Order: sequence, then structure tokens, then C-alpha cells
Amino acid sequence: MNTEFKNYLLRPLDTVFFRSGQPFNAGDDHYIRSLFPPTPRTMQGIVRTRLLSQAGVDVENHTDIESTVGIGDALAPDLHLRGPYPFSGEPYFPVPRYLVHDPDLGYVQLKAIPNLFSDLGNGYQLPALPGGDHYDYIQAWLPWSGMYKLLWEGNTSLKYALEEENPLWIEEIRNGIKHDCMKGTTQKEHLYSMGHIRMQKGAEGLWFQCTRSLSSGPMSIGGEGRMAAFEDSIQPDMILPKEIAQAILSDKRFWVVLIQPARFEKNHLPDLTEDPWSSLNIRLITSVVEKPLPLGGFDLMKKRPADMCRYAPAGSSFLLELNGPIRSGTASILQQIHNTCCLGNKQERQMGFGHVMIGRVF
Amino acid sequence: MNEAKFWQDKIIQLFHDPTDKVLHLFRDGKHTDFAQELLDTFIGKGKAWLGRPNEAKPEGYRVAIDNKADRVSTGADRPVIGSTVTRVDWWKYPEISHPLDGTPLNWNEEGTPLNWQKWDENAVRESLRNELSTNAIQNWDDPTELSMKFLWVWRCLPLQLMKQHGPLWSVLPADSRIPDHSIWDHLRMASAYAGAKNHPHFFIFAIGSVQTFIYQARTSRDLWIGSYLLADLTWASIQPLAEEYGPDAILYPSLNENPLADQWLISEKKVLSLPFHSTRSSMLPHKFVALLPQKALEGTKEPDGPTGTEVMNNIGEQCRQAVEKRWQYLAAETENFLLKKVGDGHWREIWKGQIQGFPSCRWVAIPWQTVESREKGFAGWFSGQVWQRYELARSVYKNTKPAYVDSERGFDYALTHHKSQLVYRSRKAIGDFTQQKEPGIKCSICGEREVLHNLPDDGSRKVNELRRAAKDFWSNKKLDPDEKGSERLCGVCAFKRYLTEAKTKLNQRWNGDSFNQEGPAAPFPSTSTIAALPFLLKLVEKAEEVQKEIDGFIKAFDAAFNGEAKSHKTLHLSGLPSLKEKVKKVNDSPQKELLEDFFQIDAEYLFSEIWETKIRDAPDDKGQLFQTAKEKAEELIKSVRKASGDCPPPSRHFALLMMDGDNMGKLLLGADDAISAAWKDVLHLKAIEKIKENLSETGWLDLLKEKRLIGPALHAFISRALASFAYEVVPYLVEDKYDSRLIYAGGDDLLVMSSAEKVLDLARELQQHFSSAFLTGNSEHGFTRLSGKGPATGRIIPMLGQHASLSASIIIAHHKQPLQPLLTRGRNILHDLAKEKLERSSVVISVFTRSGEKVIFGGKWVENHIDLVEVIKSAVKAFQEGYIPGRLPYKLQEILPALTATDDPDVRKKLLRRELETSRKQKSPEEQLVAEKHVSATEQIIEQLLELGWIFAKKAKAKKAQMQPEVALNGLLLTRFLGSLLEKEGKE
Repeated sequence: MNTEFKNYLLRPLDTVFFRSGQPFNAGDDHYIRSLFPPTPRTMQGIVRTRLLSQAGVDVENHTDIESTVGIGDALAPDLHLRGPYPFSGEPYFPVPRYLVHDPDLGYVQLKAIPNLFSDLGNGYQLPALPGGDHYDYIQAWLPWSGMYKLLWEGNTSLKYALEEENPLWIEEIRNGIKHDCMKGTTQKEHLYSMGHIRMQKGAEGLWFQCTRSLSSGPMSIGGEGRMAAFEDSIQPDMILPKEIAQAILSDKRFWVVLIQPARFEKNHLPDLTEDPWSSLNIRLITSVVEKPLPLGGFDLMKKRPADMCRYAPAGSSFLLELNGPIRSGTASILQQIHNTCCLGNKQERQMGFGHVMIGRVF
Repeated sequence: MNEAKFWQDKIIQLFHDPTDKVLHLFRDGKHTDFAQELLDTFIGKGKAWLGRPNEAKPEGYRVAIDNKADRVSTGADRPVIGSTVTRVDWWKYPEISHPLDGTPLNWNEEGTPLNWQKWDENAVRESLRNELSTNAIQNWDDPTELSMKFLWVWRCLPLQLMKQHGPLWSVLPADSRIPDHSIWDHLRMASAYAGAKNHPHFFIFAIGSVQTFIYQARTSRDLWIGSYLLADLTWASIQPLAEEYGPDAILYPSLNENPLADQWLISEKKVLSLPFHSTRSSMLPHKFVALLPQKALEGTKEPDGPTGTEVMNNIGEQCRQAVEKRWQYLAAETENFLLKKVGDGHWREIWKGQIQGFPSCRWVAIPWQTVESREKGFAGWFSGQVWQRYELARSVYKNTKPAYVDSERGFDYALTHHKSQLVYRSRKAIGDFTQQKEPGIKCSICGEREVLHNLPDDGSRKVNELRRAAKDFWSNKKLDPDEKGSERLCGVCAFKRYLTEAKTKLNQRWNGDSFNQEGPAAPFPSTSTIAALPFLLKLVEKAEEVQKEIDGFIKAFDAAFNGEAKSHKTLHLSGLPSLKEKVKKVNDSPQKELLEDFFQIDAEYLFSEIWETKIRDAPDDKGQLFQTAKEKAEELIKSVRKASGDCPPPSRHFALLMMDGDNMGKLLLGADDAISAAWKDVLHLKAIEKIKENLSETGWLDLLKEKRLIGPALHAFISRALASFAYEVVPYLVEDKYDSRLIYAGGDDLLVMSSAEKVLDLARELQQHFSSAFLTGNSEHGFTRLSGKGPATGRIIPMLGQHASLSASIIIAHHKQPLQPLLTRGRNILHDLAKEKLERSSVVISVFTRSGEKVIFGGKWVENHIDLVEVIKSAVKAFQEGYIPGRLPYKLQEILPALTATDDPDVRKKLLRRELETSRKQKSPEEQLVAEKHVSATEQIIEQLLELGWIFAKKAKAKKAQMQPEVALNGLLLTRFLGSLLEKEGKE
């Protein structure tokens, strides 16, 4: 099985629009905004469509579809995706939620504090900011060149962070009105607005990785079928260096940061008893998770709405601790885990959900 | 625990100081004798000895008071200023101060000592004796009686005194030197500590995901019931604690005078003999802070050991279960109601699954640090600045009275409370949730959960089948009288929608004891009715002249819905207090009956477009009936306008007002940038003189300049001020004075629906009242500010002080606009713009048309001496009158480069004048003449709006960005839009 990833850029040639799974009825609802960047589920749809198109597969032929890209949520075994991420010279990633901003202390990591009474029980440590009275979470994007400094060097200056004043994309309002198909007229009181996404100067599009080769060229994408072009892209060096992995072994504790949402079976916490985590002797110390992201969509195979589930959003962070004596090979397992999709539902990992990065505790 | 002993301790603490202690401390020092007399009167002689320090208990008394609660309560609130050297003769110099801004109120009579005879000093003592004797405890060992009598002293006794003898008795200070908190707060804190003294813990409990739960609303009623239900659930979590530990155990929100707590005292406890305190709006925030004992069980050695953990877990679990029990009860009742309407079916399975997932609760508990454990317990939790501030105070206290600082005197209340809030934030950061898979078609309100339907689904049903099943279920005539089924709800959204109609015990909260199955289901009007309210009030005024038209409309309405009109009559007058009052005053009985009948019809039926949709969709035989109803509605509007001298027709726009106190979190933490008063501002002037004379070596001269520290009395004061604001001032202003409707008032956090015309004045007046020091008045005649001289009659109502402020967002939108996106936008602009970028004490106004946000503008309430609301109102009027030409904003857009190119205000003025002049010349000679008369006022309005516009443009954009010049015209565009909106409606 080929799991070597190739790098691509999806460059919008117009505005783009990606719907969430929530219902929208013109007349009842009047405003709908686009998700951006789109979820891995949307991205896999775009990529699979592209693969089918470049292979010239008849979309009515299920057998051909299945053998080319897989059917429904089951992607073809050799088709793996990672991303998408905003791209401007390099990919941008969500700032981990364990990093907060305090007016007095600046950008700092939350710390796990033991022995506090709460409804979670004494064994569950709470993520706190000792000495910080009024911290805020950071809603920002970091380029890889800033992200690794934050994750591995504890450099929290965030000078590379995407600033609100210079966004990579903006929302552009487009108006629409419901059409009465029977009469061929517009329907009164059914005017609505859509918040499309337009990339700004310097922003190039969506960066993603795929194990298959994709042909360059334009294709219509998203809810409104706007044009975008596939291009080959660059591969930043995102490998977890051996010395960082070794440092984590002596730290004992490390952060696992979701850079794409993940769906866990029971609650907001990952199951660490399954592969690849089971090969590490670890325990969860604490979590910093944003409120759940409901994601659904439409199941084309079953011709019915997909189940709406709660996802731990990108940025959610889990503090893990290596137990007991360190097993041999732990450092290389950490290296293997970093920058892979290894949390949450297994089928969805193949689409790009549950993509994680590993960070040191400072 | 010995339950009787528990209540005995609490009761004794409520009497450890007499109400009039400050009047006697300097004069005769006999306050302890009077305290003992009162206690003996109430509990019976020989039960408990209050005594003085180092004084032996006389024979015949069962117990002597444990003074620790008094010491802790004192130390938690007051600085150490020496015992006698700084004492003030308050009898001679009666003065109180506002603890947050230092505003004084005094009862001095110039040059002469106050004549206390005038103030009924002896009569008050006599009243106290009488009250306590009448309500005396019969059995000192009966915990049930003791708990009831405790509630009576806690809630009723101060109320009785104030009623009989005036406002001074509600504010008599606990300490003559620091008269910023009352004796009542001190006594209540002492009793709360007495109840928690067995390893006291700060306990914070909250219901989670409240914002999502409230904002998943399509109609005003959904929105209202969401917030009302959460307040009810919060009360459910508080009630077991109030029962077991007393309501004083809740540090904040204060339960004293809280409508939900009063309902409990009146109906269940029957200790408060007041009319039922019904409430139409939500009156509790979703989070509370309590002081509770970690009641170590027999044999427990370590307070932090496993047994202690178990005890705190039990308390948390008790609260969580109470919330769940209430939720399940209300849900089951609503399910039964729906069962009667739609029968049994698969929908109940969906319902059960979804209802079980709510609500989530979280809590934390932090031990009150002892002198020995403080260093370890606080280590690392606070910034250096915060720690140094408290350590400075501690060092001065130590210099003043060394022994005090080394004993348990409650000085660490503030830091323990601060730590508990930080820990709660940490608990919240975990972000826990449970997984919930929702298959099939999703709810049209929340968009997340499966709609209720009756088609069993194993996951193989196709979308069309599911859609049909959902439509079949929701077009049931009993759920949707129009049988369209366009709104399809999940279990949770349906629960909110039908909860009030299910007529559960929740309805008693607004219907009171008069609750019966025929009472109004939900006292909340639609957005259409709120938009049309000014017109409806006119209609009542002119009812006599338009009686025929009202009657004609009702008949046409009934005929249009042919026997099913009742299900379309969803309005109830109890939801609109101002309208109800006005109808009540109509003398003529048939006329009144006619109006009551008319006001069962939602005001949306006065709008022609509602009928047009019905006419378009109606079968042939019904179309004419709808047409007639439409015409009758138009006739009625015409007649009312004619009778009232051309009043505007019903407005199609309503306003959603959100307000939130600035820096309230910091204020509750006692941050020095949130409390504006320094010690020198709150201490009595005479005490400051004595400190300067006697304590200059202790560091007090420096400490006087430092900000006042937070303590339980300040928490009580803030909580009471917020409660008075939310329970009295806000309902009066919103519902009585401005004919609007309150959805939520949880202290500093308000959500109001109003008419577009009145919302600006309402918002400004709410802000002005909030930032007063003290008010007097009542909800019948309104409230006025107090300053300087303390009142002899009436009440003294604390507010948050002149440095406190509210920020506001106002969304003006079409009455048929769904609420969820408006609420989300309102919240965003309140927090991101008004509070963050405009730096608080600001208001932001956004106008929505049905295609989205049209224009947004805002600024500080007062900026550069310009009153924002006043200038907006003047500009709206000027646009309506034509003094400002409608095209001016667009003309200015064209010359914006020239306007922005210069910093010279005179050049700008010239450019502006030239544009105005050009526009004037295009008018008729008569109009020109009128406009010229107002040239100077008009120019001033435009200049002020532009000045505020530049500031808005600069601040609304983030720090680094270039100013976007066109944003500076938003003030003009907003007022032009508001002017034309109201004018257009006026011309219809």
C-alpha cells in the first residue's frame, strides 16, 4: 500500500463556498456562511471527484467507482488524505488551544494542576494558568515555520501568527432568492445572503496531501460549483526531529494537538488503547477542548443525511504522560505519530480527520 | 452533624451584634447587652450567651457564642485599623460610603449633632423586641422550627424594620470607621461562616452550554423560555443547598429578595407573608458561588483526604441530580402533552434519547486557606501584582495589630475566592462533552438533532421517506394549525416550544397561586407584537372611536379560521404589562371585553403580507375570507391613525437589545482596575483623621491610597446592587416606562426586546441607572439618583457606582426575521466591538434588512462630550424633517478623499457646508426656507456624527489597519436608514 503523500494546492479562481451539514431553507433562513477551510470530508469529496474525472469513470457505475476511489465513507485502501490547510507560501495550522494569552504574562502554555476538587474527580488534573488572571484563547493560524517553534522550542512570540488585520481570506456576501420551479418566478420573502470566501492577496488557496497523483487543472468545487485549480505544491519539512523526541522522553509529558477535527466514540477524549497509542505506555493527564463541532453531511451511497456527530475541533489539545520506565523505540513511535491522522474514527482518519502534531511541555 | 446545633449556631450569629451597634459603640458601649436581650427574647433566656471577649458565661446559660465566625467575617471584609484609637462616634457623624466608588451619603445636620429622636431610635428597638417576641422560637432543639425561624430572621426581619422605620435601618454600618457595608451583611456572613466552619469550602456550580441552549431559538417565545428554563434549573440546583445550609450559604447571586427564592419562601416555606412574587423574566444566572462545609465524617483526620472528597462529591452530585430531576419532570410533562396531541409513536424514542443528553453541569470546590496552609495553597496561583497587593495590606495589618494576622481572621477570603474562580475556569477549559449521533433529517432550529417523526428507521430509509415522515408529523393540525409542517423540531427544541403549553409547575412561576389549567400558557409576545406595541397602545387609547373596526376585524379573523380561530389566538395580555395596565384602566366593560378579545390575536395579523401569503396558498373557497380579514385589518389601522392624529402604523421592525456589565468578572475578583474606590474613599473622614494621628508608623498612610480589597460584604453589595438593578430597575424601565419586554435579567446581563423607536432611550437610561451610586424610589413611580444627603423616607437602593458601566448591542430587524442569527450577531458585536475594540462603556447599533446587515455604527455612550444617543436621535429627526438631505451620506462618500486629506477642521466644515448648500438648493423654495432655519443645528449634528464616525472607524478596525474612511459615514447612513424606515412606515 502506497502511503507516500504528494503535496497539492487547490487554488480558488473565484469565490468559494463550503456548506456545513446544517439545514438551510430559503424563506425561513436568510443568511448562510461558508466553512473555511472546509472539513476533510468536503476535501475528500473534491479529491475523489477529481480522481474519478481524471480516470474517466462513469459516475453511474458503482463498481468502477468503488475500485477507483472507494464507496461512501470507505476510501479506496491506497487513498489517504491530509488537510486541507490555508496556504500562503507555506501551510498554516490552527494554534493549539493549550496556548493562551494573558495581558500580564503574554502567550503562555496552560499547565496541568493536580489535586483540585471538581466533578471530574481528583484523578483528573485541570489545565490552569497559575499567575494569570484573565487569559484568552487564541483564534489564529500559524505557518509551519512558526508552528514548529511553538511546538518544539516553546517560542510563544507568535510573531508569525496570522493577524486579524491581514487575513488570508475574507467573507464576501452574495445574495440569492428562491426560485419557484412551477411558475418560473422568484418567491416573495425568500431572499437570502450567502457568505462566500475570497482569498486575499498573498493567499494562494488550500494545501493538502494525497497518496494518489492528481492532475493539474481547473475543476468546479463547493456548494456553488465555483472554479478552482489543482496544482502541485511544496513539502515543508515537518518531521519530528529525533532530539525533540528524545527530549520528550525525559520530559515524560507531551501535548498531542489536533490540527483537524476528530470524532471520538464516547466523549471528548481519544481512545488511547488502540493503535498506534497502545504501543506507548501512556496516560491522559488533561485536555483543553473547544466546544464540540457538529458535523454531518449527506451520505450519497445511502441517499440519506449522514449522522450528525460531535467532533473535538481543530486546536484541541491533550496532555499525555509516559508511564513507568520508557520502552525502547518510544522515541521513534512518537516520530511516527507526529503529523499523521491517528485519532478518532478509523475510516475518517483516512480522509484527514484526527490529524495530530506533537508538542513539548514548556 | 447535629442538625439542631447547626441552625442554633447560625441563629446565634445573626444576633451577635445588634442592628444599632454603631449608634452605641462610642456612646455607652451597651450594644452587647441589647444583643443579648434580643437573642433571649427570640430563643428564650438561658440558651446562649453572647458575652464580651474574655467574659465568662454566667450560670444558667447552656452555651457561649463561638466568636470565630464574627472574627472571620470581620477580617474578611475590614482592614485592621486598631481597635479603639480610630473609632468614630457615628451617632454624631452619621455617614455611609459606596464601597465601589466612595460616594458618601450622610445624615448630618449642619453644625449640630443629629437628633436621633427624629429617627425613631427607641421605636426601632421596641419594634425589634415586638417582632422577635411575636415570632419567638418555641423549641430550641427542633431543627425544623429552627431552620424556619432562621429564614424569617434572614429575610423578613430587616424588611419589617425598613418598612416601619425608614431606609437608614437598612444601611446602618457594621463598623463606624468603614461605613461602606451594613450590619446586615456582616451578620449574614457570620451566619454563613458558622454553617460552613467545619472546613469551609468555596463551591462553584454551573450549568453548561447555556449560550447554545438559549440561542437555538426561532421565535421570541423560544428564546424567552430557553433562558427562563435555565434560571429555573439553576434554582433547582440551589434549592437543596438553601434547604440544608441556609440561603446565606450562597455568596452570590444573592438570594435575598430574589424572586425565585421568594417564591420558595412564600409557597413552600411559608415564612414570607408577601403576595406571590411572580416573575415573567429569567432572574438567575446559570452559575453560583457558595460557602459550604466539607463536613468531615466521624474519624476523618485529614480535611483533604478521601472522605472529604467524597463529601464534596456528594454535594456536587446532589445539585446535579436536582437539576436533572427538574429537567426530567418538565420534559415528561411536555412529552405527555405532546402524546395527547399526536399519539404514541416512534417520536417518543427519539425524544427520550435527546432529552437524556441534557443538561450538563460542572462544579469545583476550593478549601478556605488557613493561616498555616496559605503559603502552600496559594503558591503560584496569582500574578506578582495581585499577591503583592494583598501582602502589602497584610504587612500593614501586622504592624497595626500583630496578633490578628497570625490568627484565623478571614483575611484570605479574597484570595481563596480568586483561586476558586481560576480553578473553575480550568474546569471549564477541559471542554468535556458526550458523543451523540443524530441520524436522519435535522431540526430546523438547531440543525444538529434529528427531527421528531414516526417512521422507525434502521439506517436504510432514503431521504425522501424521511422527509415525508418529518413533514407528516409536523403538519399535524394540532401542532401546526396551518398544516404546512414547515417547522420540524427535534426533541430538545420541541421541549422548549411546547413546555409552556404543557402547563407544568413551571407556569406557576409567572401565574403564581392563581395558576390553573386555563391560565395563559406563555406570557411572551411575538416579535411582531413587540414591533407593533406603540401602535397597539394608541389603539387602546382610541378604543371608543374604533370599536366598530375592532369588532369587524375580530369577526373577520374568526370567519377566516372558521371554527379554529382559538388555535390561532396565541397572544395573552399578561405578556405585555404596559398594554395590560392600559386595558385594565378602560372603564367601559363591553369595550374592555372587546379589547381583551382583540388582544388574543397576535399583532402579526395586522400586517397585510401575512394575509397575502395565506391568500396565495389558500384553496379557492377560503381565499375570500382571508381577503376580508386583510381588508378589516387595514381598515382598523386606518381608523386608529385617523383617530389619533396620524400616528404611525404598526412598525415592521423591532429591536433586540443586549447589555452586559463591563469588567464584572474583574470586579468580583476585586481587581484594582475594576474597583475605583481606595481605602481613603470608603473610610469615614473622622477615621482617616485618626489614622493620620495614631497609625502613621504602621504603613497606613500608604495603604490609604490603595484600592479597597474585596470581601464577602462587597460580594453581597455587588450582588444586591445587581439584584436590585435586575429585579426592580430593569423591569420598571423596560416594561413600564418603555413598553418593551424583558427576556433575561441575570444581574448585569440583559436581553430585551423593544420597539425600534424606543430602544436607544431605553438603553441609555439603563446604563445611567446602572452607573449610579445609590437610587431611591420604587417600581411604581420610578427611580432617582441619591447623592449627598441621605433620605429620611423611601429606600436606599445600591447600584454599581459611577465607574461601572454597561456595554450594549442593538439589532434592529424585520419582525419576521429568525432570531438565531440576530442573537449571534448581537452577541458578537457586543463583545468584539462594544467591549473589545470600542473599549467598553459603548453601544453598537446594527440594522438588518431581510437580506442581511445593512449598516453598523457605535461608540462610547459619551465621547468628547457628545452624547451618542442624543446625536443619533437628532440626526434621525433631521433626516425625517428633510433638514439633512437623504443623499448627503452618498455625496460625502464622493468627496471623502478630500475630507480625509485634511486635518484642518475648518476645511472639513467648509466642504460639508458646500455639500449641504448644494443639496438645499435642489429643494422647493418652501422646503429651502425651513431647512435654512435649521442650518446651524443641522451642521452641528452632522459634524458630531462625523466626529464619532472617525473614532468608530479607527477603533472598529484592529490596531494596525489603516482607517477605512467610508466607515466614518456609518453614523450618517444609520440615521438616514432609521429616519427613512420610520418615515416610510409612517406614510403607509
